[in-house]
Amino acid sequence: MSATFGFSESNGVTPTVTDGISNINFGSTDAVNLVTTTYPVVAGTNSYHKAIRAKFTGIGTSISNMLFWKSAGAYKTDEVIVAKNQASYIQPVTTALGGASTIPTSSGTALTIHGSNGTDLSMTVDGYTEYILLQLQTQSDTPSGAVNTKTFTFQYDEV
Amino acid sequence: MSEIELRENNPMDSLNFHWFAEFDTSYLKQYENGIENKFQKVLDHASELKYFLIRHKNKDLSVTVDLKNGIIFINHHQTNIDEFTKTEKSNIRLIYFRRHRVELNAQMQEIGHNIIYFIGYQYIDKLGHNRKILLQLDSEGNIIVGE
Repeated sequence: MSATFGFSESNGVTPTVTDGISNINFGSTDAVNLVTTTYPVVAGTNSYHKAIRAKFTGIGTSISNMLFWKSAGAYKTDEVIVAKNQASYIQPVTTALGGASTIPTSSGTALTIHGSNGTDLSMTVDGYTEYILLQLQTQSDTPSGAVNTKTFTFQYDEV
Repeated sequence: MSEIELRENNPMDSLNFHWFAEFDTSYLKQYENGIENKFQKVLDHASELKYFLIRHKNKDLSVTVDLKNGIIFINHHQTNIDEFTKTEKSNIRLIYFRRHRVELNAQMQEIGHNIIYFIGYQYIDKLGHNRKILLQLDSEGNIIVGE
């Protein structure tokens, strides 16, 4: 039997952790499962960044070699998603996510995701990975309206 | 190696290949009486491991690794994927893992979940070099040689 995972999002100061999120829509508020039409990102601004983690249950022996990348979904003009991985939580804000780079688009350049401490390359007990921080950034000439839907890929080795 | 039925109905199981390990004096199946044995048990007795195989649960396809001699069999037929089959091998170690590639849409729903089974071995050749022999099998049983 395979281990299973779901994504979890953290919000607020403390933070509040929500497992099994139903979307990672980027918006103009720090909220889980937000509706983009209610909290749109205005052209020329950044979204609040998202702080998500994978949560594994049913790990048999180990989960390792975890990778995360954007595998589909074209950008509009001067739209970009930036990403970084780290162990510590940062309350989501709209300032440009420090240390982040444009999210990789292939397995060969993907973000390497560690265990919750930010250094372990494998997980042997159920729990969270480290954080994956994501932010949508736009410029003033980014077209108004909905952006294209993106597809993300999460890859891992299991025994 | 012993012909022991590997397949066992398990409605919770999403895997298309199940493993079986034969040690010097015992054997271990991934599923026994509805209970899954952890692969860690194989690792814990790796020095006693003679054969390790995976078998497709719906197809007549098995891949066996002979850990004493460093040979891979597909449906009991010896393969020639290791060009140094007849050379001296030492410290032969099993390689086995499953690689999951999960595609997620913006709703974080799985829109694709692909599992590749990696099986093979690595060893030290007579020149002291570490060599790796590896097969990849997809859920349908298609085989690729190498990483």
